[in-house]
Amino acid sequence: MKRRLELTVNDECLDVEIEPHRTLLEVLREELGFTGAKEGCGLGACGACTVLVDGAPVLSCLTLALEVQGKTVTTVEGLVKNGQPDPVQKAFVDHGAIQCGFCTPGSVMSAKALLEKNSNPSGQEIREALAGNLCRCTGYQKIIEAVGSLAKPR
Amino acid sequence: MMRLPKMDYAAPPTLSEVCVLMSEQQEKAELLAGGTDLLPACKLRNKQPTLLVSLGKIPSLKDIRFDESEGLRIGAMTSLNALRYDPLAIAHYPALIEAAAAVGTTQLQHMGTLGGNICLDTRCTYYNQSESWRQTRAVCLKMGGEVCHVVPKGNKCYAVFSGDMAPVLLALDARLKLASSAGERSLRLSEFYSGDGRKPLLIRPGEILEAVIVPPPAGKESSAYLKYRVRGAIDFPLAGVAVRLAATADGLCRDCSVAITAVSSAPVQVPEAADLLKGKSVTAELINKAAQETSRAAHPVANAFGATPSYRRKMIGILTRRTLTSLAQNLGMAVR
Repeated sequence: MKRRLELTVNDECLDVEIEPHRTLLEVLREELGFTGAKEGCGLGACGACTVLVDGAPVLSCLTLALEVQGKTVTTVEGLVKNGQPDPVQKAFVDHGAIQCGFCTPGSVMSAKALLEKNSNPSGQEIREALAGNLCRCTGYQKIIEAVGSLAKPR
Repeated sequence: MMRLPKMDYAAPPTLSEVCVLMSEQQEKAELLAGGTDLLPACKLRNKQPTLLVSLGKIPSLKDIRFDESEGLRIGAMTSLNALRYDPLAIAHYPALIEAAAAVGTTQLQHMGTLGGNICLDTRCTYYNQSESWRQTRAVCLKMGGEVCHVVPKGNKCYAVFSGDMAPVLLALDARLKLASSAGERSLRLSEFYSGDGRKPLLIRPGEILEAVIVPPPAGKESSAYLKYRVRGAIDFPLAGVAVRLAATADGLCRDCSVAITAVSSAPVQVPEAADLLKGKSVTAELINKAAQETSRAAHPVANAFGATPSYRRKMIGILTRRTLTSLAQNLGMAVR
């Protein structure tokens, strides 16, 4: 039997009727049209499906959609403000931290969560925060440089 | 898209309602905490419950409080990330922080809970596979069949317990508080594991892990956890060692506790190693002996990717030596 799910996605209050076994990733991609988050492994090891739930980076492929009832979800689409990319997105572009682009939405969301909590992360903190986002193209160096360029000394 | 099987979902607002529901549903229902262990198992059809009962609507399960006499009481739904940055845990139990920080990835630490990590299902290269992969072989013991592909002549399931929090909590002599519709009970963590890979927990049907209680540190003591795995993140341990060490005023070992994980179907304490040090001056020679004893207590089998059983067993000894040496130095005990 379908259930009603109310949630906020990228500052927009939405409600949707879903079957209880659907994951947040399925609902975002297939019911609500937010295709930024990707399915990589589907089992929690790759981070391609990373979105923010109440500001925390979580794996939407392992989150039951009904568990985010009433919560606030931010996907990569929600980072664009007034048609302008978020500084994290801009840094990824400027540093060539994107090749095929499949891991990018997840990596950007992990970086965003880190910088919201810690405006001046060390190289080690950046590596640790992004360790859950596998990238098969870049070799990580450019991603780490992109995030490092946003670190602001206090 | 890798899909979950059709399941119903309930999220009762109180623990007593969860208890009633779980005792009515018995084996048909699974408790949903962080979901990082359960939902992959459902996607791979290792488990096919008809109902998921969420603990997410009960805020009291996320409480952490410290009391000089009881110690640290941590609600079972406390996320590993919340525990990792909890000032009380940081102040008193460094090994808890090291273990929480060693679990999976940042995302998994935000989702995964302390209770979930304690109740982690055992793992095996022949079990944690897709349904189609498993169908190429006879059904194994853990899936309800009659054979073991790891120890072909064995008549028990050797699936390995791979939690990082349990060895630390064993070394710290933690207790669990379990709730059920019949009432509450409390038991030592060491009494919680069966050692049977098929059904690793000695939890009764309808019982729910409510909180973990870690005794207060007594005097000069510290703890540490070291984990061996292939990559610096994501992976489950291939070997893990937790140690609690306490010093007397004149620098002797007052008390010691050693526990290991990821080398058998349950996390286990190694009193043979800890007893070697008690009351003694901690020397490099004594640490080596304790490391050998710990290694002897490890019985890994070939059911995890990344290292051979003999290498994992050696690593247990090496990690024991490293944890003991650094703890003894931090506590100002002479290591000669």
